[in-house]
Amino acid sequence: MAFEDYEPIIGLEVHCELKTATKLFCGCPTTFGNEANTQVCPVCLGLPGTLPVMNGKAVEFAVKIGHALNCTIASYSKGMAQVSDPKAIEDAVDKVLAENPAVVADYKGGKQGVIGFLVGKVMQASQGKANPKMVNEMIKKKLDS
Amino acid sequence: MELYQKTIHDIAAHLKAKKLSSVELTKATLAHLKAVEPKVQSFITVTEETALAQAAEADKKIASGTNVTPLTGIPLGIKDLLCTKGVQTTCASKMLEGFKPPYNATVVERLNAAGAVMVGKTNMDEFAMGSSTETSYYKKTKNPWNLSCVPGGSSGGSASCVSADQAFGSLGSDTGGSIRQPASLCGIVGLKPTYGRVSRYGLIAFASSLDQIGPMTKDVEDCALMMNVISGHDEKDSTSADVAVPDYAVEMKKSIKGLKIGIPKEFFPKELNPEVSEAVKKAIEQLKSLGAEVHEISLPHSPYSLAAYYVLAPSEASSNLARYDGVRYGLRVSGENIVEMYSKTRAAGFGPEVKRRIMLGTYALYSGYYDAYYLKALKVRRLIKQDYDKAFEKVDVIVTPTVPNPAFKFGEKTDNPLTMYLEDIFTISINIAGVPALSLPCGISKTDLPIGLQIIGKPFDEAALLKTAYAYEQSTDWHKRKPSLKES
Amino acid sequence: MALSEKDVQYVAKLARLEVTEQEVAKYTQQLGNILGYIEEMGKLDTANVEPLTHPLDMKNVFREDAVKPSLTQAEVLSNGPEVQSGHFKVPKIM
Repeated sequence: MAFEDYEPIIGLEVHCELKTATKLFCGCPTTFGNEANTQVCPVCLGLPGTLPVMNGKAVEFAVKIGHALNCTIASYSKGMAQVSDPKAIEDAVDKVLAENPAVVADYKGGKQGVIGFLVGKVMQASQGKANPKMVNEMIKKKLDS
Repeated sequence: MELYQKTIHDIAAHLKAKKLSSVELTKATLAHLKAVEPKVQSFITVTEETALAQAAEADKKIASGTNVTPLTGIPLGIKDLLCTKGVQTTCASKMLEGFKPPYNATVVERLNAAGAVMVGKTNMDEFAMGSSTETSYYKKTKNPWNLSCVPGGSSGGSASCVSADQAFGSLGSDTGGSIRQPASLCGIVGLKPTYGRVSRYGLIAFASSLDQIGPMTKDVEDCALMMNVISGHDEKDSTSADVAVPDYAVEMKKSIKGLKIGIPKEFFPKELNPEVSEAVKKAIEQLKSLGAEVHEISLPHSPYSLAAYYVLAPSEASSNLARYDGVRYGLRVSGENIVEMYSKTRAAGFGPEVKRRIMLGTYALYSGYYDAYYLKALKVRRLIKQDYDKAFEKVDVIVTPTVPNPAFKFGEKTDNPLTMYLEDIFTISINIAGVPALSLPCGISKTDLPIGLQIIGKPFDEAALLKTAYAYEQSTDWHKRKPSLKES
Repeated sequence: MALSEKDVQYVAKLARLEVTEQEVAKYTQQLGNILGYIEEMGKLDTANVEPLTHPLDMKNVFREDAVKPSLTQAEVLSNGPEVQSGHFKVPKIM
């Protein structure tokens, strides 16, 4: 492929500290500048027997950011279990391909870079749980045939 | 009868009537504790000084009549996986040798507020992994009924200290049967509350969705008294339920006439030890004569509970034990770089059973096998819970043997890990479903070893467990029998 | 799924557990037996069953974003195997 055939797709991963008064899982302050290990409690020290308690403000901020960036807020956070069942992935891919005929046409017309958009749609539909590598391969399989 | 042989409710009456002081009582208890300890080995740490200081405080409260509870001035044992501020907490592991938590577990705070006295930290299986207390790094606890037999596990020391009258009651923890099985083997009462009934803050975690703390006592009334103190919501534990705590001592005395008891056929296999079967069936007949109705039920997925547990518990344990890295507390073995330090520290600090379970859990969770093992186990978990939900539409409580056999000898089950795991076959589905259950004595075998009856209840219905157990207990005298402290 | 010694070595590495050759052989056999027993679960049809991660149906347990007292530096370091200038000292990371 010639250099011009490559289409750059640039994503920005931004880390931004939430402006909460306390840490995510405990009531220790988040202020900067104090001496080391003076804003630590049994929970954030990870002492045996301690348990985290979620900071409600942090969740509120995360939801706000989600809305601001036009994301879908998952109504149920089941944890990071990944779906890698081939049938489930195939069903999800079929649905997204059917719902996005224009993008599929673009891909088939040579704009292979748009696969990222389609993978993203499947990830969104599965609330982030689908195995992205499998999704990518499944889409290629379906569209390249 | 010696002072230290009495129950909590009996001795509390003596203290209240000022027939003796808590300091006198604690001294007498400690003297007996030390006298039999060479035989029984219940304790990793004996806290004589703290106990006497707490007893003196208790006496002040009793003298002024302020803040006196049924536990004020009563010497108790605390399982060594509950954090006690400034007092060594080891989990019976080399990894935490010398570890002194800078905080108290919530249940310990509640016992302190009630004026109880702590005589020591009891021995257990390392990190609560085991059914015989044989995996403890420090010592082997003996069964007071026969010193060549195990006390059960993982709360072996908590069971033996109560059985041998070294303490009036104790706290244990139960993830797959670790309160109920040793209670059964040592002839005492042990209760595992509904998941969420008692705060886990300060309980050194093994399997977070299965662990619960509970009382181990000489009789049902003592159990109810301890439950009153330790139960209830804790904002430090997100999994603790905001459900009101009834007065269990009052609930316990209610009638069981018309109580519907379910007998699950899966818990009475043909191969069940005939002595256990006979004792449990006699107990069921006794409950019938006290006015209960007996119904046959089925818990069809219970045969899969052991398999599900041995995926779920080790998986959660592999995560909970990841914190032991030699950086901030516990053992450290130095290495050339940080990873070497972690690996050497963990290799030296953990015993073989703990390592086995960490590896099993790591294997079950890593990406290739997640669906086949962990996800599958979570689905089986739902099926097991549904079995109990369905059964409790028909009946109020379920009755089974606690364990398939009375106490076994040391070394009998240590060659093959699986043989040890099978000890928990009747207790394990209860943790998976999150329901409460209790064990109390219902017989003695021909070889003079206790046999236990398990009573299982609906979520947050510990009251039903206690009243069923109390009615049965008061119509028999198993709870009055004492162990011989002999070897045979 | 048969467990090989290579699997055990890999898992030990993931779990940051240094194991000897003898231990690898022993654990391979013991873990293999346990996994064999666990595979009994495969007999159950769970196609239409939702996983149950937690026995209690709890939602949205949050706390207020309010500062609570922390430990003192001395308390934090009190169980530290090696401490220096208010920090935990460890071997090189990179």
